[in-house]
Amino acid sequence: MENQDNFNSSENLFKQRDEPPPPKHVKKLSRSNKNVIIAGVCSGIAEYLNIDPAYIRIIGILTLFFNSWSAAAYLIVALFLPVHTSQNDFSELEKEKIRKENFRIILSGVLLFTGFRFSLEAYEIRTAAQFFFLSNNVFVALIVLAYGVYFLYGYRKCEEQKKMFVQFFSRSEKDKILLGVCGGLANYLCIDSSAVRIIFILAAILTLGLFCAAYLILAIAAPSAPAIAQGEKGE
Amino acid sequence: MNRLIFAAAVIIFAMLLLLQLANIIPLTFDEVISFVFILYGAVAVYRSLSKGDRAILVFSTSVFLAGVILVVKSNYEIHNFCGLVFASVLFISGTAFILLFIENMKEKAFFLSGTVLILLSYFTINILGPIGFLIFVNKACNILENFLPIVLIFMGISVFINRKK
Repeated sequence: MENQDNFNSSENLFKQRDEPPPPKHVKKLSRSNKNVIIAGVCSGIAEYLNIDPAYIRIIGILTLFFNSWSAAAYLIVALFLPVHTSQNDFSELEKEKIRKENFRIILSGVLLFTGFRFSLEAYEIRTAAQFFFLSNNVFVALIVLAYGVYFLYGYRKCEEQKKMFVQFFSRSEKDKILLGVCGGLANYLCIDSSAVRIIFILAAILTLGLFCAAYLILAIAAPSAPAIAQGEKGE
Repeated sequence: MNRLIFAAAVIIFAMLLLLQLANIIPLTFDEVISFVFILYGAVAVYRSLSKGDRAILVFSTSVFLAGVILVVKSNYEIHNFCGLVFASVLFISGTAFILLFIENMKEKAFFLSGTVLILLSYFTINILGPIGFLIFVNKACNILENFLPIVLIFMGISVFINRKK
């Protein structure tokens, strides 16, 4: 009986050998079609390396210190890299979450780039003329032209995000740090509150605190969100 | 449509830059940027006012006025650049609030804050300026200049850390 079992198992073994090996899942570098800001290159690289796309994006923004070469490299990669075709799509809620996160990544990248640029200039490590946006040569002009054409081409493909604007401006009760003005304004403008807060802080710094007058006026003149809700119920 | 306007502005900027580098048009780099800012700002303000896109309205108003200030800066010799930035920030933000009020006339708060900011920018230049306020602003600006990069880097890191919240 045991011998028969062994015979059967050996037969199975041979059968397994005859079958072709299962195809190995080989990762291919491609542009992402789900998490896209410009062309999905950074997200594609992050998916390939299995890391958070935010790190690649921040590194990508900071590489703009090497003049326009990194921007040119991005465009070339975007042109030659195929787009990843995946079946599973994100829900609207997930898309909104990704959009919000991407906005914050870009905002932080711009702030870090500007901060580093100013500090390098202050220590006279590099002059302003060497930076991407101010390096005045034909190559930069051509790269900018290429990006313009790319955006124009992308315009035909992309769908405009439909925003649902709120009707009244009110101080936010959920998204508040001091009086909820920035949160309320962000809600009114349909943008991220961190951007509004940073603009308010920078404006207050640059105007030596005079800009706070606008903050206080908005806080006094605008009602809080629950007050509006009660008013609507009353009507 | 926003993307189309942005793409058109980028292409016009690149074309003007190429023409400027080829010495076909007698413009400086600052003038090229300022003209593109004005062009983009004017078109985007018009479009966003009709569509009610408030964020683009605020952004394009700021871009338009920044373009105007850049034209002024490149055509006139301005000694007190910190004073210009100081008044410009107040004026630009005030105008943005006024435009938000024009877009939605029910919001009196925007009109109030916008008017106060524009009046503040006027008073700091014309009334407080001759007294010596702008000299104080210049001194404060020199001190701020050393701390601004640190503030920007700190803000950038904090936004990056809190990106998923």
